[in-house]
Amino acid sequence: MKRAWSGKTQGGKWGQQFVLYYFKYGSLRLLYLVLYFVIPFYLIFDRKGYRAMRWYAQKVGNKNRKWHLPFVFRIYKSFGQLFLDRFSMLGNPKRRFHFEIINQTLFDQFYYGEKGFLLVSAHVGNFELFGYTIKENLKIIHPILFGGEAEVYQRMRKSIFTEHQIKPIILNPTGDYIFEIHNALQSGNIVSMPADRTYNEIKDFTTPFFGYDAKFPIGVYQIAATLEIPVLSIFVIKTGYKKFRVYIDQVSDNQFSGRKKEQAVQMGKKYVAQLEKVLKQHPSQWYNFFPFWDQQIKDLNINKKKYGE
Amino acid sequence: MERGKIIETINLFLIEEIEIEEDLLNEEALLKEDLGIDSLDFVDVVVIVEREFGFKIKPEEMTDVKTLGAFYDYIEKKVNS
Repeated sequence: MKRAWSGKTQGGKWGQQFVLYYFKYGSLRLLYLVLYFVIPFYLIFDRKGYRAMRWYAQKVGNKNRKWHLPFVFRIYKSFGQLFLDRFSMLGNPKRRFHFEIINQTLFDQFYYGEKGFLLVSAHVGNFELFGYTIKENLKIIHPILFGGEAEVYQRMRKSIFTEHQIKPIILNPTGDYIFEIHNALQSGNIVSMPADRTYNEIKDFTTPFFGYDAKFPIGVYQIAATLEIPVLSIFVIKTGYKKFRVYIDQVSDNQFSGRKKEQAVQMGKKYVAQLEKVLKQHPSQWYNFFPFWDQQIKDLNINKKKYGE
Repeated sequence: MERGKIIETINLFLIEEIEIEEDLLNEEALLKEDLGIDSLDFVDVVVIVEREFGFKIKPEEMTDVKTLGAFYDYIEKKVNS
């Protein structure tokens, strides 16, 4: 049974508009406080998300059952803060956020180089904020976006995209985006995307992730192997109020050998190892609210009563 | 460039890089449905065409190219224009 992300980001259109409106008249801390009233509703009514996260809590985190609910609450809280932080920056780009960048020199090495490169992240932490911190505009950043995101969110991002030379590439059924990705990389620019969700008919590979087999998309690494383009992983983790730690690491490696598809799998496995390492340090910043692991799909189907359905 | 040389180059690439069985390669074969060439494979196609034939494929020119024969025609037309 193949599971895939539906292509729609959590958080409805009205919710996002409300946050935008409220943000203009309140402090970010006050909005954080509002989350404590909103999250219980998600815990009650977002049963699929809750069940998926509770499985994650059981397998990845603490075995103690009493620990699961507070942990899942923390995930929803940090997910809510992710949106508020994003809206905060979109609505008021002058608002100061602090970024501690691990491996800045590695990023600079590629950013100031002539070659284009791929930047892969995950639905972990707040990756999007990093793009807005780059002020020099030496390279155009092309984030790969799914058409399913709420319109108001896409509209909000347009203004800040223009300011920061961010030009999204929208995934479409015609496959034209492949040409756009190719042209962007060949022109020496950056293509960025989360690399933790399979989507529709996207090719994937299976590898252990926290000890359980999970599927990850392979296409991004195939492109990198074909075009001989470097790949960096980047995870922007919230460490405090307006404070983030940016983990940057290299995924591509000249030592990888074999056919292009084999090289792609080697890159994919290295990315997964880096993702797991970051998540072990920040487990509550994992935002895949659907059955992610093969075992999770089996468990949730077998034990429906246990998970509240 | 002769059509025979174009066919030879394209077929060799499809067999070696995309791992398509030689028996499937005929002019009527549909690129997506019969040969299973997906959008990711197309990155390889774009690269090989640029390297071997010296031009960049434009997506709008590919909208009517559905079969392998039509793809040979497209390459032949572009190379000899």
